[in-house]
Amino acid sequence: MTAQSRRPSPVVPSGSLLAEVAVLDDVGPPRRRRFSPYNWTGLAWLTPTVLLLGLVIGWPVVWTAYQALRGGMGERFGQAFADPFAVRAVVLTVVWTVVVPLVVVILGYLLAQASRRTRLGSIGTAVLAAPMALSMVVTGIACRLLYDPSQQRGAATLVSIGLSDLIGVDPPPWLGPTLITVSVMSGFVWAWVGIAVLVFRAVLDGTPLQVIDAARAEGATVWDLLFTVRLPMLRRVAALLLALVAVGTARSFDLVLLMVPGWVRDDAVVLPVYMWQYRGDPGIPALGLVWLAILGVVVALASIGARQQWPLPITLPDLEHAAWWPRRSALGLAGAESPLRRRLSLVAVAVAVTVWAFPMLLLVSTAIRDPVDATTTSWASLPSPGSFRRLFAETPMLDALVQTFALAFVVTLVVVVLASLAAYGLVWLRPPGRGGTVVVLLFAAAVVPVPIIAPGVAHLLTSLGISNTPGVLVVIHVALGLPFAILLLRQAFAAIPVERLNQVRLVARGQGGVLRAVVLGPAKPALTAVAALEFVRVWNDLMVALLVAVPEVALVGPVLLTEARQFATGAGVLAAGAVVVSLVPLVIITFTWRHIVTALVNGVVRR
Amino acid sequence: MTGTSRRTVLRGLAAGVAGPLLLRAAPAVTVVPLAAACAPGRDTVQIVVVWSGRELEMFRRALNSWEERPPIQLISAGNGIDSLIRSRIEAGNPPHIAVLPQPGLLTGLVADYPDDVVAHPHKLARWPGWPWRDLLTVSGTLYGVWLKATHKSVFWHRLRRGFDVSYQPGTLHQLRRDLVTAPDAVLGVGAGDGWVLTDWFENALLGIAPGVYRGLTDNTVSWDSPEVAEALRWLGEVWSIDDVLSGGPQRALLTQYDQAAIQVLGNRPGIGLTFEGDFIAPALAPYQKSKLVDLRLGTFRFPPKEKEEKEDAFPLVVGGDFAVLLKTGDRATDTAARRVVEWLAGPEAARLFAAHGFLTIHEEAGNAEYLTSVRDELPASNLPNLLKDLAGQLRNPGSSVEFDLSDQLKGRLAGGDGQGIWRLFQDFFFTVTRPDADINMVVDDAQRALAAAAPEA
Repeated sequence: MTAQSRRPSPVVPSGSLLAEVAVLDDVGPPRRRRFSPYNWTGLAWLTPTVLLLGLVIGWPVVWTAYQALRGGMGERFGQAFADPFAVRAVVLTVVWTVVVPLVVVILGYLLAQASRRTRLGSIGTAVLAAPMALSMVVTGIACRLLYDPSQQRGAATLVSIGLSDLIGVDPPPWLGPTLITVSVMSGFVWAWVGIAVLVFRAVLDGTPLQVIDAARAEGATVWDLLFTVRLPMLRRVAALLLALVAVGTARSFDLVLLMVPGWVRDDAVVLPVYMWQYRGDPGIPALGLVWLAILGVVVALASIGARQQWPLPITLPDLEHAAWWPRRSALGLAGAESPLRRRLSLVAVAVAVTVWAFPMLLLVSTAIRDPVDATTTSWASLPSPGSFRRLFAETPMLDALVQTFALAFVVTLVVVVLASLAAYGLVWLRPPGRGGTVVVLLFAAAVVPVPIIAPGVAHLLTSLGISNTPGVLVVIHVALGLPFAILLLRQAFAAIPVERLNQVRLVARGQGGVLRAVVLGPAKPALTAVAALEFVRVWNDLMVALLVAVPEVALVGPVLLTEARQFATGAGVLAAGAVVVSLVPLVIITFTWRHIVTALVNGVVRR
Repeated sequence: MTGTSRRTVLRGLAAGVAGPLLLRAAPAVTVVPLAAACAPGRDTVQIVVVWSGRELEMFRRALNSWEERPPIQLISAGNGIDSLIRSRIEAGNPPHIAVLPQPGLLTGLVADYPDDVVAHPHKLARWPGWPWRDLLTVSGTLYGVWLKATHKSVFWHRLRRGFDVSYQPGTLHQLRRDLVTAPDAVLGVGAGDGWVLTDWFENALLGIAPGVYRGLTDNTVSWDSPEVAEALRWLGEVWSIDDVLSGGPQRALLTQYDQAAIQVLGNRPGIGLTFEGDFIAPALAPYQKSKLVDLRLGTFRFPPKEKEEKEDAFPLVVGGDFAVLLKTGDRATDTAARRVVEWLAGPEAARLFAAHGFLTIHEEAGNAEYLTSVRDELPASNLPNLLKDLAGQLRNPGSSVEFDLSDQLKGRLAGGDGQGIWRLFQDFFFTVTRPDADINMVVDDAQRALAAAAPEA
């Protein structure tokens, strides 16, 4: 069992999506592959994207900065920090941006290691990864159920009361002021650890064993191996994951709105929620800048961490052709594992899988009970379709499903078309200017949190005299999805061998024909990944729907939020809604996960 | 999802959240396709409402029972209803009808857009007694019609020895004493909803000093006044009675109003009591059906400070929702919209609303039957009769009636989840129920916080 027995991945491009964080040491696709070395037509392909991003992301950020700095730094920042809760929101946001990514990455690494040693691995990985497909709204509902102060609903409360009876102290409620932030963070970790496990699995499985075998032969201990071989090898991946999760903590917004009772809102308030609650206040743009600075520092640190002097030859497992995640035997794990470690791994994975599956099971078991039972009795009651019946009879969920589907479909279509044009222009029709700058800008646009651009967008709409319409909703969603999609497609396009491109060029007519042939041919997997991610992003959105509220349009996120207002008496209907809403992204991700993981992981490992 | 659910929405989430429901004559509800969401047919009457969830659903069902209705589109705007209407008027595209929860919003609209709000003939004002007509009249002209009213001065309890059908404490002092002496009294307080606590406060204050209550609504009296302190102290004394709160104070702060009622009115030993508006009744119905809440309940009015001869002088805090007609300039739909408002103001609509559990104050609907939409399933429940009594009290509100105070507050005091007066009262509840609380100090602190958040008097 050696590295040679693995099928090599067909394409391993240099640099890629996750690696774009590290653009500073990455010059992008090799220039020799370009069709036309330097021309202005490249700019034409980029025009729609540039206009859209400039209007919806660029200008609002500038506006926010201008508002924050107008009249001198002191004034606006003074206004912002006059409220002690604003200070608390900044502190909590720093904690979120530092602690949560660390927990996700460390836990993800440990679980990835453990899952490689057991036969539970594939199912385990699937269970750990499933929450990634769910929306943060659904995660919030599941966790609120888990931590409900009533023992009939809140399994975590049941456990904590049981434990405290043993040691004889009164436990604070999970949703009370003491523990609320921990509870909300646990929901986030639940949702995000899957991506860390998948990425670490892919990289660990691709790591050549000779290095480790050689070190072992030299008599290295477990700790020597960890600090001299494993950690340096994983440094780049870990740094990129840290940055990704740190940027993702903006999504704590959904969790706080869904999980946190009104009374403790101030104890859990983070900048996204604070900026949303008080969005008319003069100090808000200054807080936006503070948040940007926090994110900037974390991403910059991660980029430094991602610079790797010693890139290892890592080969990705061929996910595109695997039936499921490749079995352990096929991966050639070093055979020298002790049975004890294998058993420990099995226990760790089994515990993690149980804990991770539990909120989903809780959601389903609440949904399949009558609404009255879901409020008052323990889980033992009989199944009933009552909650689903009430969901469709008394809430606008059916409208919301149809309209959210339509919105996500339109946005995905537009994003895929515009991103293909832009990526094509960037890769082969190199526009004037440094390609690196464009990538940095795209990356910046992909990570700017929505609450920071929200005041600028609102101001823009007001001054243009545009009220909130479905069209505005589509435009803003497209702009938010484009940067990520372009970065992903750019990698895929750049990875196409130049010979293949020349073949295409012989038969296709014009640049448009070439693009079509590329998109439908070699770039199809990447395009599938982009379309799936984009559809799921719009489907799972809450923030944009609240920012651009169109009263005539029902969307699933806001409908669930409305139902969550009366949480205890609405638990059954709410859980039923969460289950129905989750089906769409789960199906999409199940059918496309190979493309997505390949697209995301490709650039992390470099040859 | 019932009752005042609109008030539990985040004030910060002013944006509308629930979705549209399109009513047509033939199919009851049509889905609005995304692209056509803005133009759902030229002949459609648009109604913007604050309701969502069950309240909206009940309204939709009531409208659906009207056979000659024109095509109607319901838009749920949540707490953002005022800004939605204003921006639509500015854009020259107002909705035809707006259903508003606060008379203050109407006064503001009429002041800013006198040409866009349509006046009603006084013959539509078929509600007896003060304050109903006055609340919707701006400088002598009637601008709205009441659809439903809310009674916020009533306790609900299980029928037990000492707390029978005729139980009615005469004074605040007596109510507190009865709660202390009854060995097994359990009080359900949905303190998770901040407005439950402000409703308690409003009733206590109205029973102590109606003048101060009125002064706080128009900001001519300071929150520092001794009467406010007296009301707070009484609340603190009641809430901190040993073991009276169901599940303890921390649990109460995580319990919402409907859950609190279900907890204490259910089949468990002891005297369960809760203080909630009339809107708790439709929320309780399914639990009565499942025998999780007693089928027969008692009610009593929030008592005043001093003993009164007649119940007329007992404090009565009310709320309600009314429809306002807006001019769109399109003659056909404007005529249709007027027809809708006239129907909404009539006795048929009143009876339909009553059937779904909304209190009606229409003078011709005094004999309206309540909760008939679920009555077949609840033959033994006395909830419908209790609602009928409450509606009767709203028709003859007596001498001490006021519109909800917290709904009229502005600026930093305006309530919302975790915000304004809701938050301040939740903090007060938390500190005053601690075992080591010094009630005078806590009251002082709460009063100082309220005064600091209030605009300059």
